[in-house]
Amino acid sequence: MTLLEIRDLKVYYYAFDGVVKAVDGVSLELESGEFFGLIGESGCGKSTLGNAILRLVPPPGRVAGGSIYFQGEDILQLPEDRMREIRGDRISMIFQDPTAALDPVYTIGDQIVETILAHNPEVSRKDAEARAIELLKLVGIPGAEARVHEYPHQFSGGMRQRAVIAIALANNPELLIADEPTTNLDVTIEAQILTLLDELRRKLNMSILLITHNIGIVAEYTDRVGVMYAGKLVEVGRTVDVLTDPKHPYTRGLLGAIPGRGGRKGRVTEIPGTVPNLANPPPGCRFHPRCPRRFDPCDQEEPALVPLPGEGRMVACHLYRRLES
Amino acid sequence: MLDSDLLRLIGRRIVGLIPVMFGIAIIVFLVFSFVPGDPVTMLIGKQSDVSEEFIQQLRHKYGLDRPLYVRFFYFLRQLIHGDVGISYQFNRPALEVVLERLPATVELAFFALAVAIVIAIPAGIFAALKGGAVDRGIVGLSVVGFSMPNFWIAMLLILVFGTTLKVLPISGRLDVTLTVERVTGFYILDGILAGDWEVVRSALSHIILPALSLGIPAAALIVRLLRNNLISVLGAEFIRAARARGLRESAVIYKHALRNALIPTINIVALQLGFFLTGSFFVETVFAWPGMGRLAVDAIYARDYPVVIAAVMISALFFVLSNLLADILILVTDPRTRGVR
Ligand SMILES: Nc1ncnc2c1ncn2[C@@H]1O[C@H](COP(=O)(O)OP(=O)(O)O)[C@@H](O)[C@H]1O
Ligand code: SF4
Ligand SMILES: [Mg+2]
Repeated sequence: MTLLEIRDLKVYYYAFDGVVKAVDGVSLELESGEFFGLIGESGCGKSTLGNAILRLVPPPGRVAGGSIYFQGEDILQLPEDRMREIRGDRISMIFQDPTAALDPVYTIGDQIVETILAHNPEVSRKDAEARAIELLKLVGIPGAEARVHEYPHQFSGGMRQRAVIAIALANNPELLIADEPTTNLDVTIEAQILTLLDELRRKLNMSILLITHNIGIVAEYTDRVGVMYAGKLVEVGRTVDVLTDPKHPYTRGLLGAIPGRGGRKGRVTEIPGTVPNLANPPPGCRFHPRCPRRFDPCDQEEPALVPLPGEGRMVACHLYRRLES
Repeated sequence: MLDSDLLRLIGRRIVGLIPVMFGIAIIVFLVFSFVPGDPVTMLIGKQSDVSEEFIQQLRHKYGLDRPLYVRFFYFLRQLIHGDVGISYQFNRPALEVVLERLPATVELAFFALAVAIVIAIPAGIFAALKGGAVDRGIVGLSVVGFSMPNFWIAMLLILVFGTTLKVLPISGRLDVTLTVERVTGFYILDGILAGDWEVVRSALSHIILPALSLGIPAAALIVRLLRNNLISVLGAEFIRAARARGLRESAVIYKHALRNALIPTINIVALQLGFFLTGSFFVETVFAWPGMGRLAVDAIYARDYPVVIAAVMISALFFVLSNLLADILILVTDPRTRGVR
């Protein structure tokens, strides 16, 4: 069943020096219960896309077009108070830096409780507190009964991210957006957190949209993957398919950057050149200035995302249009 | 944890206060020994019919003809017993003279702080939230408010409300026709205690202009600070995270952003309170407000150093107390400060 359907989404930042087209016509579907990875170099528009789903793109950013259907309803059309009811209740988000994502002056328990009460005013404070303890246990925080009364600064980095996950899970969301949730953590803790997320996903039957620039993580945890480049989705498919047989030259470049699968070295760095300025992206295929395989139409015509053989396989590259015809 | 933190904090401040008070007293004493002129010459002033012999008698009476180290020794001995000496001007214990003036200063300080907070907090929030022209307007006003010295604001207020509109009194603490039994020394409180609403009304109307004169520049400073803090907190990740949790905008702003923005503002507010409590010579002079600031300055001119010492010691006490108050408030509002040594 389709949980989330993004259609031709455009999110632009109206900055002083021009319009930054951070997400420029992205279409994407997420299934119920799936673990979806969104990958791409820094500055490709991944976070912007994630924020747009909650309608929390910071100014001067704005959704400039398209639609986002969540269980069949276009949430971009909802009034703000209806959207608020969805945030933290049916769609939750966890951030890169758990330290920055927690209010330093309230206890972890307070922040869980207020998240529960914001969406379930009929629940008593006492019940919400009991649920908070239950949630801390669920995410594997030892001594939950005592730690629920502690402040964020009393938690270690890994425990803090667990607490953030507990808050995100407070109302049993159907979708969890995780924007580089382990970038600030060390490798062992990173593995623990991602394994935890994966277990919780199965247990609670939620979907996860994991934003990352680490291919190793995508390989290890996700069912499907989308590759973003310069505000565009350039390739989608089952993770195994995309990683074993990448089609788009950009995806190939990303994979070329990993020496061994799954290692911490799976950082996206080794494609020559840089992500273009999205205020003034290159014409045609946005990857063409860096593409080893560019040919005639590449700097003129923009390639559309077209289906390929294989389950849900799509790619946006002229190479495949040529093969097709 | 909070309790033990509080006790430790209070203990440390009080213990720190004692050497400060002694140090200040000694410094003031020594400074006065080296500035030209002594209390007797100042007391006698330009009266030319006073004989040199009489002056010498007075000097002898006050011990001013003794060598400095002897006087210093006597002074220290007094000080250890908590006595700063007799006022030359009033011929009464200096501390008593100062304490008499204290309620006027404290009452004014309290109202000035109220003015500053009542103006600054809503204006700061409003500027930070509205942005644009509203923000620029408030920031502009705060620059003006802060760059006007408070005696200048006092003159302006007198001109507008006192002289031109004639709606508010511009001098003293009470209409001359009224009296109230002195219980606390705070006229408004004394009026309430006596059930004399005429006194309360008069005392309130007298305090408005001096309180505004002191409070406006402080408000201007606090507005800027609160606005900047609030804007920076509103850009913080945890505010976006709070929205992502589906909290109402009012909870996001008043529960999360404001509390975080107020913490770094507390120290500055306390500093302002400290200044108010030590008395403002200018404002007290302009409004003929019988407070400690004016008393202290008059005492300096009269070389009445026991009064100066008493006033400075009380001021130091107030500074420490307002800082202590700030520390306590910060301890209560910011959990990160608790349990750290
Ligand atoms: N507040 C902003 N104002 C202007 N441009 C922005 C802003 N935030 C992000 N961008 C631009 O949008 C693009 C995408 O950013 P982002 O979504 O953060 O990418 P990613 O998460 O993939 O690193 C980048 O080019 C970035 O410079
Ligand atoms: S369209 Fe052309 S430039 Fe773009 S990725 Fe394909 S081959 Fe390279
Ligand atoms: Mg990002």
